[in-house]
Amino acid sequence: MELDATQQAEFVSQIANHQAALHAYIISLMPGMDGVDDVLQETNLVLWEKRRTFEPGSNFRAWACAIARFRVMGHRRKLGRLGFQMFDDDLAEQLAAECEAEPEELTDRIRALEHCLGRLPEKERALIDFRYFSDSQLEEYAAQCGRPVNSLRVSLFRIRTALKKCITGELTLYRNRP
Amino acid sequence: MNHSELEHHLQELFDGRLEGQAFENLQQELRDDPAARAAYREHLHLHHALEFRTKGVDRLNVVPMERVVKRRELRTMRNAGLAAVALLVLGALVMALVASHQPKPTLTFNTAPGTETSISHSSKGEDAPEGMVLEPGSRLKIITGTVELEFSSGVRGIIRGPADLTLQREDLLELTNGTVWFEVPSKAVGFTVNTPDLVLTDLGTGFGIISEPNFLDEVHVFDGVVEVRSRHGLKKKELLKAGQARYAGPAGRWKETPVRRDHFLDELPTKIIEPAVVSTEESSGNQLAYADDASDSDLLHGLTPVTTGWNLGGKAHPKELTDGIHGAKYEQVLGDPVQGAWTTVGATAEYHLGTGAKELGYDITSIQSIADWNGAGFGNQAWTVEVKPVGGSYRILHTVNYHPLTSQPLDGGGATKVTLADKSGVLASGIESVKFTASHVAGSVGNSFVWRELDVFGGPTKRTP
Repeated sequence: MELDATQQAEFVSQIANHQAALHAYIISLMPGMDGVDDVLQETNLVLWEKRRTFEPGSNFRAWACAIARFRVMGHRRKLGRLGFQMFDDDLAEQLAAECEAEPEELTDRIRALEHCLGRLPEKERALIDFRYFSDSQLEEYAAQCGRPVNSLRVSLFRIRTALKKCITGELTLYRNRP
Repeated sequence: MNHSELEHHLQELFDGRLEGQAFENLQQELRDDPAARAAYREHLHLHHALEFRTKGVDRLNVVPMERVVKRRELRTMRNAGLAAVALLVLGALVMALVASHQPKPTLTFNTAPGTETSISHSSKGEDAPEGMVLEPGSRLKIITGTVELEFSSGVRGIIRGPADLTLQREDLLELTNGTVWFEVPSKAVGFTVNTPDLVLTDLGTGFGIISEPNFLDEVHVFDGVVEVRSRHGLKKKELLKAGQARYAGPAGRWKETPVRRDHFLDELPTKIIEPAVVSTEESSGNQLAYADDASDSDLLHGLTPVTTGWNLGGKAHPKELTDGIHGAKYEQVLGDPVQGAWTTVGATAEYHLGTGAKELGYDITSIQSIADWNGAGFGNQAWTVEVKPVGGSYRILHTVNYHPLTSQPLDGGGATKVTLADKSGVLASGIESVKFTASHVAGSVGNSFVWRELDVFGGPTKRTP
């Protein structure tokens, strides 16, 4: 039976609230592979198509992740046929299951990330912004700023290592209570 | 595989660059070693947070189902070879428009006297905009001063520095920090501002945004309606009407805060504004550094405040703000473990001074505030003080945002002291009531802090203010 207008709005809201978790789950199953955004969109579509089968009050995240998992596996099979190298299914499932079992801390992580990004020198911040905001290749940025691309890769490695350490420190602070 | 190799392989993996034997080696390491999988999860979280942060605005505007369906239809159409035709038609249309119109700059800006800015553009060389112009991809940093923004769409804004903004599209501005007021005409409805904490879509209105590093962003609506969506936690959406102000708590739930119209400028100042209130800020890694500075002879000493919203856990109490006693460290006094006032965001304490000997109220000459704790940022302080003249209404005197202790070691602790004074010698004259409102500090649970002492110095007003 079709959901009424209120139920539909609630369902859309549930999808919205779980975008971050779904994104993380999909990346965990296909690290470094293209198409994460496409799989997320496909998952959203299937969630909507299956809205009548979701039982209100049950675990939406688990239900949505199960659907996302099927979409990812389909995508992986497609890339596999094209000869892409990827983790075997057992390992991918294990990694995804372990990630799913961790507490959701995205809110704190993004807050910590903003804080840590604020501490970066401007040049390093610009490099991170380019890597994650722009669709262009690192080679293009290398040409723009007159640095060898390998030097930029080394910088990215160092910045990400520093960010990881800084975020871990910030999260420890957040967990501490008076 | 040693730690350094593992880190390198994981970064290459998430960049999509790991292949061949190195890929197989990493796969084997992940199968065998739980510590390697833990390192993998750390990289996953970082990669995800970076991606979600930068592309979040599109993902948060959750893709309407019709658009997803259309996308799928478009994909089918593309497969049938029709998209190429559509693209050609669209290309011809765009070229015709380019040929017949000299485009107006997307955003121009003016500065008030004494303003310092820096500007950068994503387009380089001859394509880069010239002058005080922003095009999509341009970033404007205001080091100090005030800037007026004028969009070609008719949107107008006044932004006070320090501020940092990037124009993403004509109708989408990313504001990393700054205090900004916007006026949006009906033809520009849909104008969106994206801050680290919220996504705000205007529905034809006047509103203000306060976005500061380490603080939760606030939206204040003065006219019309805006839609706000939290970027964190529940990502709840809410429609705000004129006279409403909100910030999103860490879990993404919207919380009320008083509307602060006087915090925003709606015109560009014509001369350099020098702050009248002089704020002196000190900090120490020793949480008892200012223990001897608490006063038992100030105007608030002995007054019972009207309070709302305080955390009374651990025997903390707002009455300890003005008792002239700093208090001991945590759990050093049996039965009173927290010897101070424990704030929540929005907690208030209102003190009625009275009208004084000549019924003219009181002159306030300085205000001293001490916060400290044994760790984790609870020794920072953020608050607003408002004053009410005899027979008048409250106005904001000053806002304090002082958080130097966010990186302190967990077991180190620290203290902060802030003293407000005025170049003229008097902060406010003819005052009968003073109200303090706790705000957000960084790095502590609930963005709270432990307020040890609050002293207001001055005496009865002798002449009509």
